[in-house]
Amino acid sequence: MNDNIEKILAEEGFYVSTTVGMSMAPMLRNRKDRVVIRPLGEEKLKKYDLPLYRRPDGKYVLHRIIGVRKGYYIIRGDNTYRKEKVPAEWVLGYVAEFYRNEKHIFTTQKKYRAYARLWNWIYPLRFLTVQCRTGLSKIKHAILKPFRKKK
Amino acid sequence: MKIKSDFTIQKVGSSYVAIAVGETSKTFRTMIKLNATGAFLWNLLSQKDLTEEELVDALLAEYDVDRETAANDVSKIVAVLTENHLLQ
Repeated sequence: MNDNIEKILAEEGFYVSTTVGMSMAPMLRNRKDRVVIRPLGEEKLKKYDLPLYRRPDGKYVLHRIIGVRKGYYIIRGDNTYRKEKVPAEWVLGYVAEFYRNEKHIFTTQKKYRAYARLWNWIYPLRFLTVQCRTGLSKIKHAILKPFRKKK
Repeated sequence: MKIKSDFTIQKVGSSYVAIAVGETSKTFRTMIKLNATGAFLWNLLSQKDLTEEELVDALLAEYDVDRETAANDVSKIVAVLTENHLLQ
């Protein structure tokens, strides 16, 4: 994303960008969908909100809040399996709305909030599926290893 | 002139912004704010290869303005688009 997102947010009151990366798939697709970021005012973010934050290494990240604690958030990408502890002061803004193809979705919409809740609720199932797939792939490699041609 | 195909315009509230999509968004990471006239011209240029003169005529057909104002608006928008390398 832009090097001056903070500046754009302060000057314009919003920032629009295409999403980058697969970590928020399937909801936000790499370089296809567009998000509208609004600066964070006095209000606090809630569980399932989508904050845009900047890590100390300068990298911008847009993931989902799965827990709110005093002074920080527990955050995880919809398509990732690792939690991150994000101090509130890293957060620059939040996704207020997004465009998926021609569909315009506000993150306050009931339907969207239900989707976010459901996606988080089935996390253990998604995690297990990925683990099984990885395990099966390892077993397959181990079984086939003796039959592979040596270079 | 024509808008490059890897750029799109997005309406946010009452504003319009031009952003890159697809692979171009790797290198073009800013957003360009446009007014309603800019958005109107953007839509024309994203569909068709047009000259400044043709854009002025299109503005005159759409808005109740004189030729001088329309020409000024067109050259301002074209300057912004050129400066940001959005034209092909």
